[in-house]
Amino acid sequence: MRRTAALALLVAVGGGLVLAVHGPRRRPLAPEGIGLLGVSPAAVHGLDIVLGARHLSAERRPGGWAIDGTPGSAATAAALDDLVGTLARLRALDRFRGGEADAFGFAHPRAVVAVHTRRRTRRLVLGAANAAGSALYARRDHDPRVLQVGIGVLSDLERVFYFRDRPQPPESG
Amino acid sequence: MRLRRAVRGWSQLVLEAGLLVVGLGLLQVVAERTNRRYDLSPGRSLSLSPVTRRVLTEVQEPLRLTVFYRRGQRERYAVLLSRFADASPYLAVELLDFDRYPDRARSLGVTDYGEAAIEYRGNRVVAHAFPEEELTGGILRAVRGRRRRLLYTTGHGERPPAGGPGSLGRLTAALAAEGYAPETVSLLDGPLPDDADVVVVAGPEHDFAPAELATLAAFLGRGGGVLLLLDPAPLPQLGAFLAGLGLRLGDDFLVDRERRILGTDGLAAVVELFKTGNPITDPAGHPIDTGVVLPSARSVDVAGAVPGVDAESIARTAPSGWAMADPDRARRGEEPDRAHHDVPGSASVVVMAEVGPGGGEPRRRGRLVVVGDADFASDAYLDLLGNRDLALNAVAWAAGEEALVGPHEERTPEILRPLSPLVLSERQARTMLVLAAAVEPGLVLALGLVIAVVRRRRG
Repeated sequence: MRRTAALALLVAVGGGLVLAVHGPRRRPLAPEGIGLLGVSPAAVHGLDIVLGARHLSAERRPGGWAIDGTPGSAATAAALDDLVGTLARLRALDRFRGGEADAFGFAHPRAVVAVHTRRRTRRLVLGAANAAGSALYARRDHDPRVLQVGIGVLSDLERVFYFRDRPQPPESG
Repeated sequence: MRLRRAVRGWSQLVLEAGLLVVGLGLLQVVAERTNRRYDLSPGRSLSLSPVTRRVLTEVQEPLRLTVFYRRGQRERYAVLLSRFADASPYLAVELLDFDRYPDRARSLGVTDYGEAAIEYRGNRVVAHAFPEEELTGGILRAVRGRRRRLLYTTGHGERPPAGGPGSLGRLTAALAAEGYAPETVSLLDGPLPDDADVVVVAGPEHDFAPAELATLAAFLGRGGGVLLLLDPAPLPQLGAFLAGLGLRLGDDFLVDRERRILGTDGLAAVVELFKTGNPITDPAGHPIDTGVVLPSARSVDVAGAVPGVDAESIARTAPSGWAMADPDRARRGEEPDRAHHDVPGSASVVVMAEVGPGGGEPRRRGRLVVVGDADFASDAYLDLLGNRDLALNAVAWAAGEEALVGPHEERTPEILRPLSPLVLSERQARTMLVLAAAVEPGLVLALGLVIAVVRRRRG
């Protein structure tokens, strides 16, 4: 009788453990991903962008954006606002500890973006595209991991340079 | 005294429980060490095909398999690779996320998701890692160290190697996956390349010139492989060439009104009579037990013995079939009739032959396979019944690639096909009709009548 009770206790403990202990849960990466820069669009007061051979320094002033020290056009300002919004929402599709920087295009990055807030500056290096061409490898300052971000951020960067570099229409009147 | 008994009882319990746990643990260790997989699924869809198993037996040294998958698709490859790894102790398998290891992929020559780098004895081959036949073909290429050359003849209205349901696109793709390099060739361009392995003549509508047949004969004489897929069409020169090898190419059209494929015009010949003990229809004890469908077939048979040629018929139509003397009458759907010289009975439709001097020659003999139909290997019919196995086995034997002869990975026929794979005799079809249209409704009616009568009697 006591033996049966002991075995029943064993089974009860085992059953309790099975119910209580869960397997390791994998945190889903997609589609939400992991926030990259941790800033709100309103907190951004400046950007330094290098895209290929082009450079741009933008500063948010009370009257709008100043591009390389001079007030930017409304279109450029809108493009910068969009870029800031994209960077604030930017999420990693994947993150992992990678090997050689060359393998991911970080030795010759496509773009480097520095996002300035009042407190600190966050830097994001965008490297090569993945094999599918759907994502870019990226790396943050002080983070040894390699990230993958959607390739759409390149369009926003290009758009800023497009509006900065296009000839200004003559002022009417 | 009572305490001692209690202690002894508990000690025994602990000992028994411990023994039980240790015993179960040992069983688990034994199970891990002697991993066996039993596939009870219909069609053995969870097992490697016999062809893959035979290819893996040729791997006698460490073979490294590195597969680069797209994120989210790991499981698809992991399941297949575990079957490969279970089947051969020499396989070392590694699964890598392409996006995480792009430099590794580049260094191995992999350029796309789903590709595998196969390294064996200093050879490196890149092949698709899915489906099974692609990976098997890649392993075979790594083991052999080269692709086999497969030449399709052109210039006589042959079926093209790719494009459209009448082409041999699926067969060509399957052969490419198994390590063949398909290309087209004209027999008028002179001798065939020395390193060619097989020549396929797929459904010529026009006859061959004597010079072309001489080229083909020379290729056979050098130990090459030739596969002739011959639809009913007047080909007197080719017929004479085969006659010289002791084979008879019939100018007829085979029909089988009794064993028809449901939903067809009844012209297709269903072949279920295969000779056993040959590497095409009964490879390594795996006969093509599903039968094959030859949509428009002509007879081809062994006519007589010719020195230096060993030929045998390996497949015949059912005794219920007819060989109609006039193919046009068959195509018009006319009934076979002795008055029109139509011949009832079983007819040979596949012949295999070895050509050239045998016995101790260092060079292998030429291999010839003649099938009295080309449609069966076309895209529209390849995945019906055992057609794929017949076509692939014939090419493999002709090429001397014994490892690839056998049942291949099964493919589920797609919906958009002209045929249903349900094969019924006239009698079976009539029985089904009577059961569905008369017996079943009759039983329901009778049951209703009984219930109505019983209720009426009860008032």
